[in-house]
Amino acid sequence: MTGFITKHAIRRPGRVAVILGLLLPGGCRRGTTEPPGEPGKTTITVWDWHAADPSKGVGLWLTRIDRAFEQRHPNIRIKHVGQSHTEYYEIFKAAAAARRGPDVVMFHQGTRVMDNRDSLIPLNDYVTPDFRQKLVGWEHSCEGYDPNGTIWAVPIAVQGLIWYYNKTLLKQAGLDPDKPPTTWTEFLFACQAVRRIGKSGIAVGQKEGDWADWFANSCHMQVLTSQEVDHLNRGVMTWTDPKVAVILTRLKELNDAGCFQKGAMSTPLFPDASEVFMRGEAAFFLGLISDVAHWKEFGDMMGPQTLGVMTCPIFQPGPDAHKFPTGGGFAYAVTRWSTCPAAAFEYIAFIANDENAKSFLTEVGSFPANQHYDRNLITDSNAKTIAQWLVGGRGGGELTGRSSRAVYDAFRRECQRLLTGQTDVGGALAAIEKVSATERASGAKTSGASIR
Amino acid sequence: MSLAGRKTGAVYAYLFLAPACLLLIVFRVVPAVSAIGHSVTSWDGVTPAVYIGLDNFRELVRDGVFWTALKNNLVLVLAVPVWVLVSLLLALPLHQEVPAWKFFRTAFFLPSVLSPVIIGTLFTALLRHDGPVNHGLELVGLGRVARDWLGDPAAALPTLTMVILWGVFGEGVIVFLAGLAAVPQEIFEAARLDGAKGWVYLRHIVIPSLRHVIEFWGVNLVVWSFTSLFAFVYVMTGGGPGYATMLVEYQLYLQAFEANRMGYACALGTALFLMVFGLILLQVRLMAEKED
Repeated sequence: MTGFITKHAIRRPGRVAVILGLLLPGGCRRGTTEPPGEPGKTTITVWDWHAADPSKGVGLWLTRIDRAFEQRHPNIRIKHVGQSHTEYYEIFKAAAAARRGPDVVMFHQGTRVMDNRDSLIPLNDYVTPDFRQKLVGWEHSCEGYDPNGTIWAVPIAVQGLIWYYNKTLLKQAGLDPDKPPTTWTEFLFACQAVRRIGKSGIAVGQKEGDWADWFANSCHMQVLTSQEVDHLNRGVMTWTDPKVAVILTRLKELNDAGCFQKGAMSTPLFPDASEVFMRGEAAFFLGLISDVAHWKEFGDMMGPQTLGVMTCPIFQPGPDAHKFPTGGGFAYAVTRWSTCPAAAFEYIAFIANDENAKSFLTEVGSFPANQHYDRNLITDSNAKTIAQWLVGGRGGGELTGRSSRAVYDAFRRECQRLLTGQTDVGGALAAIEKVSATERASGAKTSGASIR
Repeated sequence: MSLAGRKTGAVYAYLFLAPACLLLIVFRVVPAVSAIGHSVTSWDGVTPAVYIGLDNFRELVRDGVFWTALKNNLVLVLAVPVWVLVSLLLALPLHQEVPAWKFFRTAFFLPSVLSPVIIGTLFTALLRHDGPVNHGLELVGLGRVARDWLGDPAAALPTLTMVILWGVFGEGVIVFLAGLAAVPQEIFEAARLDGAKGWVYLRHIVIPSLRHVIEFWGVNLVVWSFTSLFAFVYVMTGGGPGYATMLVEYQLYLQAFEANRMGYACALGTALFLMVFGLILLQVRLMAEKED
């Protein structure tokens, strides 16, 4: 689900950013290196991608938090550096190689945390039992994906994949807008009905291959148990297993049935595909529950009464078939080279506190990892539904969650090949398995992904 | 000049050369040597590298993606003669100062001052399924030709090649104009008086006169097609769909920054360097033989 890593950004500025990143002064400095008028202050340098746009959304929320934190800690200055999301991990890698740069760093939970944990400090000594109990999603930032393992990052957001639909289009197509398709047959029928009124069934962005990954994650619980997913990621179960083949077969079926908008293969998932949905050109969109391409963004644009939410239509009934995948959102970690890890962690804990969890939900429209918030604060009907599903345990795990980056990339590209007729389901899975086997043979660490 | 004077001149020459040499050593030679060194290691770019001998190169030989990427690179190399020829053919009328030649010279050169990112973004928009190119084709009755230019695996690499051609042809035009200006004009005039035109004029007069310029530009484009197309791929296709537009340098980037496999990326870089070096040697040797 690395759709967030869009491919729009540019290379040269990226290189410049890497160099600038290296040149940025390290954090937690006192005295002489500080701006005039701030002698003796500790500066915590924070890197993230949200702060790149402090005028709205998470960027604005973080700006307010910084000011509030500084008011409570007059001797600490927060230097928030908004990095490009596209080159974020390249820039961080350069900083890590130079062992200088941020004290606090934002990560997508899962693979990204695990891949960079050599540059982070364990947070177990800082996380109190009370703080730990308040937050969910620790397992996505802990060693071995064991919530009791070494803690590398503090979860801030809860993320998940959910299907959104346009009630108006369904109505125009002669379907009941309050009863979205729940079975696969109904879903295919709905897509065909929408096509008949000149619109597309599903808004798909498959340029980067992420949509196929999202689809697989949204429906894998119908055919695989969580243990089987774990076995798949550990190499105990192979990618060529018939159960996995069912998922890609359904993916191909959607393509063959003409459910995608034209040009889906060259359409970026963000923002293009989500805009196709928001413009009312397609009836369904597989989106997120927090941050972007989510209920608030769609509701603001389309009107909350036009937007509906549903889980993946069921093609194979089972105990977990009705679930939708949830995982970590973004998290904050403390770098190994920070000279003030305690202050850095204090800042992270402040971001994750009850007060900010509340504003994260009400201002940003994202579900916080801190569960100590009043559910009555949610007024949007779709958000209420999602919140109920989250509390009711309707959320589940992910399919590609703990695959290495190489397997993940192979999965996306083989799905592209499958959808463009360059291979079949068997060929695609064999190619993914080959990469997975090579990884296992070379002893590559399988890490974990989240809804990135 | 006296011996002392020559020595002083040499000292000054070395002094003037020193900064450039220093920059070259620090930013080119040292990283290149370091990359070759790291190509025999398992390294993630942060933790200490571990020596693994030739394992990376063994993996590279078995890596299907590498061979696909190399094949795509070679397709681009095959397009180099077209890139050269287009620039040459456009330079000729400009050299003969056809009406509005100054305007065309500027217009042709314009893409060269645009970043590949801008060109890539521009053409990505133009080539969208619902974009102007397909609309234009439909308007002129060629709707059947319209397709998802960058999403269709059969069309993606040729489309990319055409976009790259658009990005580089102007620079080639300027290079050939400079070459044509250096050739004694009497040669062209004599040929025209003798009635040479069309293919004969091009084959027997222009190409021999510009031989060294063509060689220079050809070598330049071959190197460029292996090492400088990253931005086009990054912006336009991401190497896809599947591996349809994967190039070795893009694979190198993915291995280094997406898979955190700096050691393997260095092996790819080393292999790329050796291949380009070998191709250039071959090209120069062939040209030298022809000259002999």
